[in-house]
Amino acid sequence: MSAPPPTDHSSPHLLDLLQTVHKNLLHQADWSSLEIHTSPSYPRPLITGLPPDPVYIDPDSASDYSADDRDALERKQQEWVLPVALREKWTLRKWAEVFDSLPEGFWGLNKEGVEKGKRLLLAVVSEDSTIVHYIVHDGIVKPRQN
Amino acid sequence: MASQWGVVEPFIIYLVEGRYFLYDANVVSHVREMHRMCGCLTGTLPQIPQQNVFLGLPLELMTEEAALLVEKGAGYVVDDVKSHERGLKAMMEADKQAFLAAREAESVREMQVLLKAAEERKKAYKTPKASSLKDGDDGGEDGEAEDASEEMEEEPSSATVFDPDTKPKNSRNSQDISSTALRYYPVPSTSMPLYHKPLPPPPLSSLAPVPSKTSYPLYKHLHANSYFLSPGLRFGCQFMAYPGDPLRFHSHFVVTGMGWDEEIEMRDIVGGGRLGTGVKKAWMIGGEDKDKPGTVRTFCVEWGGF
Amino acid sequence: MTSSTPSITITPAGSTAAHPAPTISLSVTPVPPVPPRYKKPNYHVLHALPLPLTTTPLPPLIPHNPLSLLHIIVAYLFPGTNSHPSPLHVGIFHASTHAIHVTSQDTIKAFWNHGFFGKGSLSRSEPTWVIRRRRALGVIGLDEALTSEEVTERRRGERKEFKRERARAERERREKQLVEEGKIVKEADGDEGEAAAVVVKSITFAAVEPPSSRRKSLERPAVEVEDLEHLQLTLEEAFFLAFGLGVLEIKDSKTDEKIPQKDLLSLFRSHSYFPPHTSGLQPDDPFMLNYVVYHHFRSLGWVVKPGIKFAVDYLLYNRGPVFTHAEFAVLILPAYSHPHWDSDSLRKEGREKKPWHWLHCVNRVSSQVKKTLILVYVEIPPPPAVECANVSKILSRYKVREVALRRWLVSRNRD
Repeated sequence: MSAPPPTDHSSPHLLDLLQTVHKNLLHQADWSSLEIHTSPSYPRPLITGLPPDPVYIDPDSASDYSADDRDALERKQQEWVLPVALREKWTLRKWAEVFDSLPEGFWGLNKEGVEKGKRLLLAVVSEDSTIVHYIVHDGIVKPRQN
Repeated sequence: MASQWGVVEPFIIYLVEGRYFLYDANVVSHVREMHRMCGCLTGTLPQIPQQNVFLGLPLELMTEEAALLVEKGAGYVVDDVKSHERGLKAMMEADKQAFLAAREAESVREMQVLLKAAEERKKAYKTPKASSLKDGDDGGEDGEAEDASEEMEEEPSSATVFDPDTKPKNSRNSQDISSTALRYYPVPSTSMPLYHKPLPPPPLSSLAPVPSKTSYPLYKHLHANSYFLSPGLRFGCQFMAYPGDPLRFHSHFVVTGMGWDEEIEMRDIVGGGRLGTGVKKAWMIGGEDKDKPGTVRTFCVEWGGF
Repeated sequence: MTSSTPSITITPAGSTAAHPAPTISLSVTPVPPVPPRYKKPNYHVLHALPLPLTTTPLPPLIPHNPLSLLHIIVAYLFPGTNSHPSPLHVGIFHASTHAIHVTSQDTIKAFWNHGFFGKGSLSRSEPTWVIRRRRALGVIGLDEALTSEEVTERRRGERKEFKRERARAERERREKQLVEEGKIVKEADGDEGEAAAVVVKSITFAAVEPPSSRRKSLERPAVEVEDLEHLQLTLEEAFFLAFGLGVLEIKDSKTDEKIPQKDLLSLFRSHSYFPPHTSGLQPDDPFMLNYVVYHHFRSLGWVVKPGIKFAVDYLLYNRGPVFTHAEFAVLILPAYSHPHWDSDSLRKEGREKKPWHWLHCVNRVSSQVKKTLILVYVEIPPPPAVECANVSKILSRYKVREVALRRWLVSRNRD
């Protein structure tokens, strides 16, 4: 595993965090196509990758089970991951900044042909190496079906 | 602009001890239908006071609801206690007399209606009875009924609020019509129009509680996106957001408002996510963008599932 | 930006690795029809010791035999076995994870089996990553030595399948109704075929071991999986093992030198912030708050584990996670009752005050998972006039109060 080159805008403690989450996604959560984003255009270092199972299924398409939708379910959707430390404090401003830095149109179209809203996976790293993952949507997004 | 409930805007929102109330069932229906606000019924039911599952009027509005109604010009706030006192003081003797006379007249009218109905019942009862064998018992029954009604007649007259002596003459006349009648005084469910003469809508009093700066923009934002919002304290949040009337829909979000730079612990974000996912909802936090006044950002959090 | 490659190094069997290569028996005897069932280890024996210390009970005192007293004195003064391991267990402090890593298998076993200290960095609790990786590579059989992660995963898979099936049935029912109501015209065969396809698909999902897998297991690849996992101790766990029990020696990852006991506290305190604070330790440092509570409950015999999954600070287990679920969830709340803090409204107002809905939220989350919420108030002492080096003295200035919280419902709590 090659370490990402440290960039000036990311402080070392954020890169350490990134490494921890990256290792966990690769070896424990079985993600693939992992990529690290440390460009200064992002307020924090981020990771993209392919989860083994889709993390969010649009509740409107999940109840239907036509062939197209099934394909949509199976289709592999890349996700953005934001590593954070449990001891950090968070604010609405920080979330807005991260979301604003994400590209548009990454999540495809919904049934009505409208672009889906942005989302990311919040990876909260605890000191005992537990990482809990929460999906965060930008805007008002219906919860998925459980 | 009277709605189907006969409510004319702006209607009065009563302020009691820093809380906003609606007393009129028509206003409550109007607010629910036209403004997508449900408030909370807070009145206990007189016959079963030891439960709080089913509640009745008055309806308490959330501070945010009251503020938005005032902002839209749909209602205005009246301090219930102050206006009551002011109304009583400002009442002229003539007003009082006129009110009492009107009340008496209403009472008499009600009584006559009752009497008439009683007469008709009696007639309907007697007609088949005339052919029956037990004619003699009729008188006795009537006498008992008379005694009972006379006893009860005393009560309403002594309950007259202002002065028993001012009891108008025509009440005796009405008793002459028939002393068997029961007397009722109508008790309206809304505050007396007598001392709530339509005042000019005042600006929201500075003493009245205003909604918090962190939750109000979010409330307005969701309300504008046609969500119904209800208080969420019991569920561990500020509001529950329903995609339609709460009687028809499950809520989608448990909502908490925050300041733009207000700090939240990661542990509490995890808690919010668990709270929502545990009941198949999403936990939403949001607030007004400090740099772009009027813009509200919201974020919905769900468990990641692995 | 670098694309990463999976870092499982597969080395041929027999190479010198940390653990022995899996034994592969290439027996020629016919394979028994029923695979041997995986037996759970006997947890009561495995976890008999509550702490990683060896204790020897004193010989019994027999009143009419004065020699037994002598025996006790001898046993007391010259204990046969040392209670502490020699040399001490070693952990490495990593500033990158704000934690202590343990890689020696003996130490991992000692800490996990005796008191459930630490967590496997790539596992849910006990370090089992290497077992799962071996199974994925086919080194061990499908049902051999199942880890708790795998059990959960199978359960979730079944549940997911159930939900798919339910969604499909729902859709079919709806379509049928629409057809009956004459709203749509059913396409003759297409639908039928599709439904059948789905059913077939669902069969493949059920994790039934195909008979051929037995044969497959005979052809297990002889590979050695490098263990990428370590046991990770939180700062509080490590400090308890080092200071409280004295069984752990902590080295710095950069210098590989032992960190003296007197420097540990300030190092840990500064690393309990993110990013770490370099100066200005406070009496309400997260480490102080957490350690006081951790030490308190450990001293009372509880197994204390971090509780972030349930949005609390700690979970309390009666004996340990393998025996029962945690019964209590601990939330740490600083209390600034000392008059010193009266003037410090930033702390008093900012850290003590929480909105009511927050309390309802944490309580609901705990009751969802059937745990009783314990609010633990830690009385924060005023900053010391002189920074004291004696850890016991520093700790003795803190006080702990517990309050158990449970929602009370008028209608449901009548009897």
